[in-house]
Amino acid sequence: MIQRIPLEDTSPASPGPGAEAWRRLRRHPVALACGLYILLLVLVALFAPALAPYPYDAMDTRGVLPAPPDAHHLLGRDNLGQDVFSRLLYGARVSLSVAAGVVAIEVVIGVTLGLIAGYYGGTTDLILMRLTDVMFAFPDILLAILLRAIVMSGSKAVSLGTNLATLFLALGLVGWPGIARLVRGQALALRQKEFIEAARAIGVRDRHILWRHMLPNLLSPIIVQVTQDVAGVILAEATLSFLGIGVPPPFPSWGRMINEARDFMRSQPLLLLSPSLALALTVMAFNFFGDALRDALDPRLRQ
Amino acid sequence: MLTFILKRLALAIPTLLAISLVVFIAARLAPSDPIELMAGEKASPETVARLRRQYGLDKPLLVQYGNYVWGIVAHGDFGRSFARGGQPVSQMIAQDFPVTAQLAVTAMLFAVLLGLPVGVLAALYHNAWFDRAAMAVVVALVSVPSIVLGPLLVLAFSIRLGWLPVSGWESPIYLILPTVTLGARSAALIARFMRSSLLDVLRQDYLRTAIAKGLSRWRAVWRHALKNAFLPVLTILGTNFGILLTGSFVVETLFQIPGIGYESINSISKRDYPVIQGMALLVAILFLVVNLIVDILYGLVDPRVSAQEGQA
Repeated sequence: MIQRIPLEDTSPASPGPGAEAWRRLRRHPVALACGLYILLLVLVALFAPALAPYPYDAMDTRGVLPAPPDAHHLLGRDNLGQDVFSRLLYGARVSLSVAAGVVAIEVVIGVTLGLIAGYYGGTTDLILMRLTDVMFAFPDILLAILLRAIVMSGSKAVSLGTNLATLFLALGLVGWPGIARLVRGQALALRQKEFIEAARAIGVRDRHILWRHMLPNLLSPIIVQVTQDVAGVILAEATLSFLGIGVPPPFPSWGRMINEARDFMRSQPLLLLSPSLALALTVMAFNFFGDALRDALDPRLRQ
Repeated sequence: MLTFILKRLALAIPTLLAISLVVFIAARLAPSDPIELMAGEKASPETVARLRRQYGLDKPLLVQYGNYVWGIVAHGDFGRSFARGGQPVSQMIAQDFPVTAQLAVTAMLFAVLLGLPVGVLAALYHNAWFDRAAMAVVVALVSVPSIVLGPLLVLAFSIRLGWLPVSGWESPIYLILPTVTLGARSAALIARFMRSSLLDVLRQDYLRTAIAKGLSRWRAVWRHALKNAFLPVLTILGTNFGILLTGSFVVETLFQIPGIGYESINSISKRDYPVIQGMALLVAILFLVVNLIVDILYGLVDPRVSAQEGQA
């Protein structure tokens, strides 16, 4: 017979963790500016077809190419006669789509393995963390470069679907160990808490405990980690595309635009400068915003 | 100490095996048949079968993997290039590796020689204008990708000013832009890390005691603080080596420097995957070995680390 005890919240009214974080973030003008830029970027990515004056692959081959800015083309045209401004806007869409997809892969693998390792401990933990160490040993995007290089050197042309799938996988494989380590650490600590013990004592199934009781408590560190990862993924995609093993044509990627613009640096530096600026600003914005978000949400700093 | 080194070695070997397996499997999964490529479209099934036997590709995958690893360990045999008339990959590595190594070493030197003094000065003049200016530059350099920095440097110094060559690998002057492009991010990371590490040490009691007992501030820093502050920096040198290796793919492609990165990227369009597989493995091994050395060095310099791990 379970006796029900009426629960009353006796703690003094406090703003939720979200409000608290927002209060901290608001005092940080640089972080706010970065957040605003990111918001703008997301809007551009979502509404690129409506905002861009031309489709990303439309060619206007009049005159000498690449062409400087004129009345029709705000930032000029590239060597194929494509509108640079439109490609820049669509580039945001490509960049953020890859980031979203890759981060989703990272989170699914990282959170699952991290939760299992932290919750069960013992041999499971040991094996999973060894695996994480092996993957973690790899720096930056080296593994992604190597994997993509190997896939792309196949003798038959890869289909677009396979091409994109291996791109996402190669990038996703790079990021998950960081998340797995983080989640495991937090899960280890959380496992000791009374409410988990209570849940276990009344016979709640493990799966239910993991997803309903532990995961919600891990959300804020995961969000921080993910925001910081986004900068890395965007940079990685651009680098791979620069090397010719990233997002396949005809999709516009800032990295590939930079690479192609190098041949026309002398005659048409704007072709190089615009994607460079877009990429640098975006990476910087996510870096700053990620750091600020960490400071705002980090429970260790909140007294 | 010995247990510590042995433990680290024991950890590195499975990592190496796992990496080689991943590289090997990725190469086999690639939708290509090297034998059909070599034999051409008109080859008879018998020729194809003979070639397949000759290259050992008719055996089970695990046996092939075993042979591949054994070839590398026992004979330094990384296979043969498809595109270059069967030139051994090991020969190409021997040719390209010194170039990559030279670039990596100069970039690392650049990063250390720039990063350490800037970090130290920033810490000593904490919150003064130098500190603020240096940290602003550091933040910018950490965020600006090399694919942005490199072309911009070329645009400024080669095309606009005409001081330095656009690309190539002939005389020392060709080293300047690649070195800066490759080393900039590491320099920034080292400066930032050195600064915070020295700031930590400067707050320690023993340093205050030394100064209180009449040691001049500079002498105290020089004799006592720097050595202790440098220790943690050593660990990120290993990480930075990874950044340099990754960066060498970009920088060598950017400046057309005939190193391992450039060769690998070039081999992609030639569909020369034994070369890519070999170079990938080499890069992975290099990275692991350097990190192992850094780990062991760290254990040697700071006895606390090895003692802890030896017990555990």
